[in-house]
Amino acid sequence: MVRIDKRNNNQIRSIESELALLNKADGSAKFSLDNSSVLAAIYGPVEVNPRKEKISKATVEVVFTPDSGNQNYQTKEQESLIRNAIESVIMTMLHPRTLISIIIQVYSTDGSIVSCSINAACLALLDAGIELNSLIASISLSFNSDGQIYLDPTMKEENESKATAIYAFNSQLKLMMIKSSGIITEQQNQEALQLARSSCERILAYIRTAVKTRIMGDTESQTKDTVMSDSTK
Amino acid sequence: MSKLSYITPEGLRIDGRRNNEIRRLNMKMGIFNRADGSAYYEQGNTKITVAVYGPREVASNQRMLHDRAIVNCEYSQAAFSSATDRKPTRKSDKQSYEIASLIKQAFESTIQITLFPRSQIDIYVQVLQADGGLKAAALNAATLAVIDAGLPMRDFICACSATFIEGVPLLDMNQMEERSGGADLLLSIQPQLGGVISLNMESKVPQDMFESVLELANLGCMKIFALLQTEVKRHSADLLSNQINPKS
Amino acid sequence: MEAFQKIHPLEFYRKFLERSVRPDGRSLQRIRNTTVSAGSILTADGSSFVKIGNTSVICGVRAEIAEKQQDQTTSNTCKSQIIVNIEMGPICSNIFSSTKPSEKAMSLCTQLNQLVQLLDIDPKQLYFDVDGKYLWYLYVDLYCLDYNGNILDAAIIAMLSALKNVKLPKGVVSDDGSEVYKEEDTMRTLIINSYLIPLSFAVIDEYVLSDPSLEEEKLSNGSISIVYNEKRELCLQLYSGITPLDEKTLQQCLDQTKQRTQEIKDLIDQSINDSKDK
Repeated sequence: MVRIDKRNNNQIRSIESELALLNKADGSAKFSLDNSSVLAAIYGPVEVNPRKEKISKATVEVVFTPDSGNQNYQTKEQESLIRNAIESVIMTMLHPRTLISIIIQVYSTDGSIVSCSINAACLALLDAGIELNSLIASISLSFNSDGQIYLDPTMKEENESKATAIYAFNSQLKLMMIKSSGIITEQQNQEALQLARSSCERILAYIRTAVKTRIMGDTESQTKDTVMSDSTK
Repeated sequence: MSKLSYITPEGLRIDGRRNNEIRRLNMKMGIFNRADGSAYYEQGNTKITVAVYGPREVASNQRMLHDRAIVNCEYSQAAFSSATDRKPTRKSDKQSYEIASLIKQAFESTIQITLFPRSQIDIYVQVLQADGGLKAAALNAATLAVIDAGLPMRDFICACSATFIEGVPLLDMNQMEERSGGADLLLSIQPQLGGVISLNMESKVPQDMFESVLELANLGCMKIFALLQTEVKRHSADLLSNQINPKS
Repeated sequence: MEAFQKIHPLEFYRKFLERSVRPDGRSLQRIRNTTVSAGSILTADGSSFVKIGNTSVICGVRAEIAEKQQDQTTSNTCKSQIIVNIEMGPICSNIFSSTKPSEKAMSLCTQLNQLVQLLDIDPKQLYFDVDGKYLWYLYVDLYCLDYNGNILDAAIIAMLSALKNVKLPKGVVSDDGSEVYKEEDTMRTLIINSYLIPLSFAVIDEYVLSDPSLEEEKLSNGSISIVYNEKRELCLQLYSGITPLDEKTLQQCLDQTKQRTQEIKDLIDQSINDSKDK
């Protein structure tokens, strides 16, 4: 069964990103997968409220604002997933007693929004020059009732699916975060893990390209990577 | 709807009690691990749990008092506790705030707060099942929890409610009797020192009957005191015997 | 020794973990004593109280009636008819504030709502009257009374046993549809055939501990939660942590959770049977 936008099961949508869009923020990046577009802004390391202060590490805070509506319980959970994934790559021991604040603003949502946010945050952290012990890339998957696994689902595909999963891998392709909800069989689970790993590898390559383009002084800070091809199994 | 008679000619109430009988009490102290003191209290069908934390550091320096501890109380009813409709929990609603205030004032006068300057004592009341007599039950349950926390008090706090329906004073009403429209008198006392901590009454009672209703409430308080004291003694004996012969 | 525990909690723990044991005497895979007691709250249509070690959660279900929405198709009805809410207030631990729900409570709420929709419930079970013009909406409220780690497992077991404990009266709608009333004499039990089998883990260094207590959660650098259903299908898989997760470890956790299937089923069934005798 072909997907509505004529993609293959293993095809990610076209990625666009832009770094350093904001002047005031220490680092910023925009990351979009077609219609899912997210802006991440980093402020930090800055002064921290004594209540949240940690004596040996930096406190990492994520504020996730959806494109429409107020923050609700679901966005709070998404916020916590993003924070858990990002905090694992930041070298927080280098900035004790400070706060690294990551503001995520969703421009438009069309599925895979948490993955977009994590990727945007990674780019923004690189733009801010905050020390990371590894890059992080994230991808979402959806599982259909007929057993198909779709990579990078759109919102419609997510809503109609039986289960969805979000994966995040670091530069060494080790699993940093996973959240799957919905009914998945053992076999699908194994398949999904491998699929997610290989596609995160490609997203990591994209992130490296995007940063290289920015640092090499190209006047165009926008990097486009259209229609990534099938993953080789 | 046919007129419901709250008390039969023989003097029996809806649940079979006489006018001067309190409902059956079931108490357990020390049920929670994290809290410094806790208690589970059942009075008839009303079930309440209380957790006490303290003395501990004050949350905000502005509220700190240099010579005594602050007593803080929060009262909350579970959404499924009411027999009639599901009430979504709103801790800031007026009724919860009023009851919390009542408990706070009662314990501020009874706990020896001058022994703990610059500290805070928190009492959290959670109602699991509501069937009348909530304020009184909350006070009694909180007394047990505070004793379990080991906080020194001048005396117990015993509370009981009484009303006046169909010409008869009744003790310890359940929810149906509370809603009958009769007066709702809540008396809380320090049973050994003999002082009254608070006396609240809603609705009206004929002046010549007031004393008998008050007497009845006092009687209820003393009965509850006897039961609370027995439970505290039993729990202490339990703890002591565990110390001497620790259970494997 | 207590001083050592306070000053170097992680070192203190490591000394035990090296010998494959935990300070409370458990082995690394051992789960604390779990008790489930259903049907204790009479004002609720279904209730249960779960204690895993010292973590206590009470759950009550209230059923309300509402008219069937015109745009609801039969396949979707069940999904929105059960609403779960969990409250973790200062009564259970001093880390939580009373007014604002903590991030943990909100995440837990979302996860429980996602899980409850995976339960296999025949839509007709939630019909108020025979034709389904009016429907039952179940509000599931959980209150954490004592927080000592692993609240997710306790909440899931409590939610499940409370739902299975729900008794609904027969509903009658008058012919012109204007009057709706319940016949309290005939009560039927809500039939839910599926089960949710949860197990949470904490990762400290390279050790994986099942059913972490609060101290272990605080010291951990990663936490894993797995939920299966009775058909051995994965319902929830959650890992978040500072260190990466090894695939072998994940597989071990998946296997361990599956092994718990019968134990949880028995626990819940036992509590439901006991409540019937009450």
